[in-house]
Amino acid sequence: MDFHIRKYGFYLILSLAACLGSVLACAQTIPDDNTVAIIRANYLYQFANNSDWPAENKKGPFIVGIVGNSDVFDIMVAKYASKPIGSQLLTVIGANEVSTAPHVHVLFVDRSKKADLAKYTRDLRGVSTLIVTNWEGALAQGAHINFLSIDGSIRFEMNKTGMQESAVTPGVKIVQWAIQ
Amino acid sequence: MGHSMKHIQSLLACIIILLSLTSRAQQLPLASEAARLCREMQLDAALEKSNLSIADKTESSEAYAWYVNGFVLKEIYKAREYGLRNSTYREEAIKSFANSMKLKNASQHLAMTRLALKYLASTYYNDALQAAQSISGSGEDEAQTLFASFVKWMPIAEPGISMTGYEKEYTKSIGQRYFSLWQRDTDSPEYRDKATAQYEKILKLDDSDVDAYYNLSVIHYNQAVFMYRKIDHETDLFDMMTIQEAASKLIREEALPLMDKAYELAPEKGEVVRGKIILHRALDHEKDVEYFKSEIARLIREGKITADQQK
Repeated sequence: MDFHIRKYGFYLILSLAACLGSVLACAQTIPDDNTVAIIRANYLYQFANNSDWPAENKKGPFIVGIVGNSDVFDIMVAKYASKPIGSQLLTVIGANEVSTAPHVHVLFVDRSKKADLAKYTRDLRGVSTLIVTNWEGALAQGAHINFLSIDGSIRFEMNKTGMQESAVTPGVKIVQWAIQ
Repeated sequence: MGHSMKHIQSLLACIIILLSLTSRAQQLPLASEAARLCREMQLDAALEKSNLSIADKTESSEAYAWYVNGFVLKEIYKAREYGLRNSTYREEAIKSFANSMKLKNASQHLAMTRLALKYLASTYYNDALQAAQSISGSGEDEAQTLFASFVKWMPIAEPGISMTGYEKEYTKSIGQRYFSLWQRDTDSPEYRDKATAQYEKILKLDDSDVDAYYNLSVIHYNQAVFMYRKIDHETDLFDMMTIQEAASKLIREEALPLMDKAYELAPEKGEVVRGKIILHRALDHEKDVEYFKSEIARLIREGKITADQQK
């Protein structure tokens, strides 16, 4: 009467293995996008597109330098490189190219390179470079625009006087949305 | 001496059972012949004989006749239709086993009948999980039907079994399918909402299910990420800020509390800690990101997770 006993063990194991496979695969993949970097990159593009530089800086490529944040750099390259800023095409450069570039229109210094800001503000004094940062107190250290995080949203504050000294004129949209 | 007596008694009991089975086999020649043919894997001949047995007035009232019939049909299912979700052999096999359990002398085959039923019920479960992974726009009817069969037969095969774990697993499988359908068409909220509904259903079954909290959190986070991904050079400053506001609110008010709950339940689960890092990074919570990164490093150091789980 027990002509079948041995076969069950094998098939039940198969069945349980199938169930186990599904248990192991139950967690969804969480995307690794750096959303804050997406926002910062777009802001840099908006600052470039909605500000005005002196006539002598409206020739050649429009250069955006990124210091200390590879995610912002990668997104700038992927989404905004070669896009027109007026009659210029946007070019993205990294920290090691900043000192040799003919003119950097926008320079983003990440908080991981906080210590380098003093050097950049000194080197770029009297040059029409918009310096953008992302840490508290950076405006007092010479930055023109500083990102702030408010309830998880990235906003920005401005040093209008500093911008005037650098002869970079922010557009209405930029002024309008800056935190006063 | 007492021990020997018991031994002799056991032996006698076995002999009596064997004699009774032999005599029943003699009373059920068609079923016995079907069993023999089945053992020799002559399945068509076995089925023919077994069908005669269950049509026979005398044999059909015996559990053994239906048990053999169920067994032959099950063997045919395994040989010819295993994996075929609408297999009629499987359905008929289950019916025969169920019938056998109600008839005369059922108790003598009960253990093996239940084992056979358990096997067949588990194939319904596996097929339900498979069907869940091929759900498309046409709906989840097939998967539900298969799962309903599993739910119907499994407790008969194993009385008292808890079905909650299976129901959670099956619901997760459907949720996972809807989630992947949503990933293919992120503009369509239909599949996202269906995936969400599945994970919420799991939490109603078990409010301590870490995966359900985690997966719900990931759905909300993905929804936010898909919004962020649309931001490009054509996005106006005002529009960008509006998108950001909505997306960060989704992460802050929906995704993060759910991930917090998952973390509360499983603070040393690698993917949950990594989830915390990603959500806090999205909200620019630098100190939290650093803290959970150090937690990942600790868990690796203590051998609680492997290094590849930190990626």
